[in-house]
Amino acid sequence: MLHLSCHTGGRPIWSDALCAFLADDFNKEMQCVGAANGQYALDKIIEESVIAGINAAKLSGNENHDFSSNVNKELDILKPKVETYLASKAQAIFHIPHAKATFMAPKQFVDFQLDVTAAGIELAVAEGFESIEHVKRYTALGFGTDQGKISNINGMAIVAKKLKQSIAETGTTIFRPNYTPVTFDAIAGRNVNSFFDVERYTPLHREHIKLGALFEDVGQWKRPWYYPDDNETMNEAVARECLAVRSGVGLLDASTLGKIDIQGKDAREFLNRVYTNAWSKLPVGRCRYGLMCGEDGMVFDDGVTACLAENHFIMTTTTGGAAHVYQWLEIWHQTEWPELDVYFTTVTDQWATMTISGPKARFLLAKMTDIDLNPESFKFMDWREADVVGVPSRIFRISFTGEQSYEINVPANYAVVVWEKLLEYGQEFELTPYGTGTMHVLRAEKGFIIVGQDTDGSVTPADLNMGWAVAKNKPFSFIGQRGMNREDCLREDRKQLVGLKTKHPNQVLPEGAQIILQPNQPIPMKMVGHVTSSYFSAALGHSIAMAVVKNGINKLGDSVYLPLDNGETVEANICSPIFYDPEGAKQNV
Amino acid sequence: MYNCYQQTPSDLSIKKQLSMYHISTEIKASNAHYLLEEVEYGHLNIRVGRENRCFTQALHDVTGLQLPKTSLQVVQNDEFRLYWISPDEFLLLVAVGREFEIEKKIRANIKNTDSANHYAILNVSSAQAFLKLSGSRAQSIIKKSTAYDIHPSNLPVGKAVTTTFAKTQVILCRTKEKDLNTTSNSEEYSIIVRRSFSDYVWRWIVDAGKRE
Repeated sequence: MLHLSCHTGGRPIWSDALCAFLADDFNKEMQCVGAANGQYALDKIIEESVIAGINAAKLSGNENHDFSSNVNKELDILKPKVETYLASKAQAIFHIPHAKATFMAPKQFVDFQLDVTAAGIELAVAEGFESIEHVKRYTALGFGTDQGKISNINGMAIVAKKLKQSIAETGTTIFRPNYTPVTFDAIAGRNVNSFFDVERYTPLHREHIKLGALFEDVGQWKRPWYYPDDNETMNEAVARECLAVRSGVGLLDASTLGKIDIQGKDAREFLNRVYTNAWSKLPVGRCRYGLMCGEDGMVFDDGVTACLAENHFIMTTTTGGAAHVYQWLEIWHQTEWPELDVYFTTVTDQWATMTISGPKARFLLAKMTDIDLNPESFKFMDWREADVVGVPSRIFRISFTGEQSYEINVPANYAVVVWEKLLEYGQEFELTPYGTGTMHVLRAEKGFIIVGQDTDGSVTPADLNMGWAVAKNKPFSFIGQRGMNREDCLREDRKQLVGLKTKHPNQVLPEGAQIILQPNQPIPMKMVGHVTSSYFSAALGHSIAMAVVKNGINKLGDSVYLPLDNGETVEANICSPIFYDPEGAKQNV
Repeated sequence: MYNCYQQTPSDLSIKKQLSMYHISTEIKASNAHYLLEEVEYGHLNIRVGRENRCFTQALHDVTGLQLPKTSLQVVQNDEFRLYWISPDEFLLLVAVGREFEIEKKIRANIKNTDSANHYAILNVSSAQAFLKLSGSRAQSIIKKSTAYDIHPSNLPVGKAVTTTFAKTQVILCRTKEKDLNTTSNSEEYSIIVRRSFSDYVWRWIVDAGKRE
């Protein structure tokens, strides 16, 4: 237990009489008994323990009890009858002598875990390592999982002998936790099985289970992945869900997206500084997409922010990025721009978000609310307050699918009733619930990025060909402006986001596949990019992929090659990443 | 200037499901030794600087409460309870259904409409759950769940601490002291947790409540 005194700052001292290290008096209130005090005889251990116990009781504030006068009485009561033996004194044999010098003699292992030999230790000394801490690091003595329990004393004695000094002068290394092994289950506690990690559920979780959804982990959230019919495979289910959205109307639980309420007269100015685009003129009732960059100019989150009132906004973030974005806003506000009057409040859990998307979305919504849905007045990128089947809601006309799309936000306490009514009124339109699997395909058909999938922290807005989302003339700089304009970020041959179409339309490239310009190169080949997203598009009837390719934006139409791990090399053409409805007409009707 | 509106349906027959609605019907969170219940309140999150006299006066006019004077403090009267959350964040609990009325009143009572008057109020009643944990095992359940020292000298009634609870974060309070006439632990605690962590926290407490 000597290590415990070291953990608190003590340095052990050597006792020649005991051939052992003992705790020093660094910790004035620490009491060592038994083996920790070099005491091995049972009767003595009990005696020491009683005295130490009485002292401890006094130190812990029980001064009223007069223990000390009663030591002998206590001892008499407590002391069991113990037979005592005479034991001979420990004899020190640290290093077995040999006729030859140590380095010539057969190997004498000292540390059995790390194969440190007596010769190795002597070599360390010969090399000038005289401090025991240096010898430890030169030889690795005591670095094993036993933390020197078997080897240290012998090793230190060999050092002492070689240096012609005493073990007391040589000293010992000290110990770090956990010197005594701790079992994994003691560390894990109850954080096992279903408690291993937090599972976060949306208010609609049970509704998804009822519909037979399989779930995907997105951060700590469980999101519906796809809703298979009977014996459908994932690919079949996703294809069916995709076609339903493109031809009719689909329903997605988007409640997991981060939502941050922003209030204050400087909210706009704050948005100007944390987003790359401009927010000064966004009117009440409108929404805008924004990219967020780090100081290095690299995209780290994106989302739509809506102007709820002149001094009031609601920001959405990616599902996995919500906590980080919230902290980011608070840090910049608190440390850099405390003069801006703005407050942030997390409302991710307050609102349940149900997205209906597809050419029939408006017909469905019209059954459930009385507000004016005329596309001339409730336009794409507008939001409205509405009563939806009696529940006060905010409806955002924004689209991650490229279809006519309405995101219905209701207080989470009323999520299920709105969901049930959606399914009920949706029957007439064959409303199809869809999950993240389908969401990924639909957004890729439109070339919409997923931060963290199509970006990896080294991608600027220009690399994404999203220069349109960067304002050039904001009066105050914004986070990332300087970074993204560094010389290296303006190179033409940076990896840029493009689309890929395989020569064989049914071939779906593996995500992560490397891209080369010339096939039949010797290995190592010159890699110019990789596939970031890849799916089969049921709506288009061919595979689609998004990729980053060096100078890709200037290479539209060029052929590239993708050598796969099975030896096959796939040919593909670089194209725009917007595969479906490039004019954006469908989301705007 | 702000979008403040009634979030509760006027038709009271519309089905409402609180955070613990599903999990509480699926898994019973009680035995002879403890009882876990969800209690519904209106939750208003407030962000304001203590120096904003104009706001604190309006808050006092509407609720009769002053902002807590020290950190981690809870102040209350018959109608309202106000928690200190951080130097510029407070949580106001109100009777169910009054959250819109109270938010509107506070905003209306702010005399200084100068845009420099800076604060935020937000109805977060759906976003978090208020749980009440009682029974002889309540103390041991809390001890298993947080490293925070819950000894009455460190967590007396009237103090609210935002701390870790298993692998999530809650606002923890002791709401009732031990009855000195009984030998068993008879304290009561309240736990405020974000909605999406409901099932996790509920199941965790049920697990912790199974054994001493």
